Amino acid sequence: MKLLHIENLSVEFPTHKGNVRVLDKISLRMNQGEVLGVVGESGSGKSMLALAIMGLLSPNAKLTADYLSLNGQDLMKLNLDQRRKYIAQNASIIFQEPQTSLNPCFNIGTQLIETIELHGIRRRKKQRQRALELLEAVGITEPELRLKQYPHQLSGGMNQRVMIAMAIAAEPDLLIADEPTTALDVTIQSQIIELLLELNRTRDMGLMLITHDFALLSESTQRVCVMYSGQIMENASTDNILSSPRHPYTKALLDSIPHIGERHHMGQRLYSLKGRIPAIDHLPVGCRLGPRCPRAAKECVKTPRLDMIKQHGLVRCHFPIPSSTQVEGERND
Amino acid sequence: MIRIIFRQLTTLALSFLGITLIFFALTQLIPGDPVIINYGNLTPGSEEYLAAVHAMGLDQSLFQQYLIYVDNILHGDLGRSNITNKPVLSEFFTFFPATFELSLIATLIALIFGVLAGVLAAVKKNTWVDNLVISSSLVGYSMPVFWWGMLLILLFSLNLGLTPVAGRISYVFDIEPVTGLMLVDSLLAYSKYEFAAFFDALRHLILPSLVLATVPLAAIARMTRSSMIEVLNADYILTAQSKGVSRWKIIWVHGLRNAMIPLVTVIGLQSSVLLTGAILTETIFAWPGVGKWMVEAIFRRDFPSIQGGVLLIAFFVIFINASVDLLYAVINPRMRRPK
Repeated sequence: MKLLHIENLSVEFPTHKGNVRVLDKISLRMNQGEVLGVVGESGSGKSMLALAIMGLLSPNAKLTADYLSLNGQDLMKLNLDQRRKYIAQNASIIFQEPQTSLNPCFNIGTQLIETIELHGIRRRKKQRQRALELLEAVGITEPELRLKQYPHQLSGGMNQRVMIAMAIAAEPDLLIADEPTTALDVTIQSQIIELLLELNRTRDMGLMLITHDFALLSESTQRVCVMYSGQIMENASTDNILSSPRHPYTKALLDSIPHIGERHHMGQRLYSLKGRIPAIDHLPVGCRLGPRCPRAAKECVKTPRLDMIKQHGLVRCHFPIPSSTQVEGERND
Repeated sequence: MIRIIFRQLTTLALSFLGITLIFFALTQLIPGDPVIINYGNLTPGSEEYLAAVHAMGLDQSLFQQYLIYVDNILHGDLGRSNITNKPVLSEFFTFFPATFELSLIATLIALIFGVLAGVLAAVKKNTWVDNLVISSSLVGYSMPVFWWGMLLILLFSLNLGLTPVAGRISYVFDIEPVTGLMLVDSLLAYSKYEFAAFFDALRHLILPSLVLATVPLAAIARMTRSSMIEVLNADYILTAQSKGVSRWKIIWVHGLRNAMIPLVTVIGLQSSVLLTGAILTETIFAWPGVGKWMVEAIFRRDFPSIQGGVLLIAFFVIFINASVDLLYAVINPRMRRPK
């Protein structure tokens, strides 16, 4: 049984110019306890995907899917209230900004105990005990004091730990972390990622790590899913993607990472694709990367399919990059 | 918390001082000779006239006069009414409970229905419910109080005969003022007819409090709506949804608790609108409150009453706003000092 199984999930928003499709036929699967990375630049739809899975889209969004299941339960067969209830018991999400993700008017204890109560612990004393356990599990010092404190009295990293404590209160099988470290200091970033991975190992909890930071993924994930403009461009194991990216967009993302220790010439620019991600209501014909792609040819005005490449993974491109050795040669041209 | 209370008390004291200064300056600007107003037609320069000047302390410097003025206020001496010759302060407090009762009920109506309408509009944003709340609150906000009051009297009192036209209670009931609040006094007055008296008082209250509540209600509804829409878009609402908190609890606990913070300030500012509204409302409904007393004092050129009344109302408004600021600190955890 798959932890998460999505087939052709699309999300549309009505606008005055007609419906705009922000997620286009997303298909992906996650196994129990797997760590999946989702990367893409801002506006690629990765956060939207997280909200769609969690049933948190705003009411005017239209979600369609051939199949969408979490822990074997077909979510499309449930109405919104049932779906939210089921998801709350099986999956949790943490967001980019811990300071705004916690309610500023209630102290940590109240918010944590609210979650604990929703998952069936009724007795006050036990709730408190569980809250302290959870805070300790996420590495928060002086948990007794923290229960009485408000989010504005804690640091960003501490608040993110509280968010994680709240997320694991339900003992979820899936934790979606939507850019969990973007708003934090670099030293805290690695601590939070460490914590998430530790929870993944010790509790056998599937982790979907959404980020725009490839460096983060290389150490922590087994598989990576690259998104661009609401579509999945490449979906393969982390090793394959890092050693030989087959989609030009994936390669561009990897090339744009500055490497410490690598010699950069004075005035040399970091590699980046020309142009910017297209507006979602004004997409190019055919391949969405087309106008920015260094490998684009005539055929790219036809929409490419997400096809299987043997011994690699899924790639959406008419002209996938052949293999890693040739890639290097091509780049030096 | 103690620090905040102390700061509020300091501002309160300074505001009171400022108001007395303005009032003292204003009294100097009022045309006419205070001696002649108080003692009748004395010949300026005559012995009686000079004696009167001395008795009133007008031969002292302005600064000393001001000190005496403040000293008198601190002792609760606001002078005597020119008409009834009773102390202004005790006059004010015989009329004040009626105004207090009216304003209190009006505030409750404005608060309950304003918040309800605002939350409903925010939750049903861009639907007909929202449009209805927005448009009717605009009408309510711009409605002249006196005209609106007369319309309601025409409809409910004269045409439908549902409510009395004026007053606080029917003359059948002879209520001894204990607290000054008719709803309480009517219950205390009789052993047998207390509920008849209570409901009669309530019937008298309905129209005036509704009229008085209209403008604050509209303001509160609009403010609640915009504040609530902002709050419902916040990340912590998503967090609460993902935790599986019920929709009802998200709106009324997670949402409203945050939306109340800016709202409390607006409610405080509405208190002055409420008191000016009370003057008009009391005049229309012959409600024996401070507003009606003040209007009558103006018609009779009863200057000590006017001055004293306006001063006390100003104190009252400042006091309410200071309390609201305190309340703001209580409901907003970010205002409290980190431990």
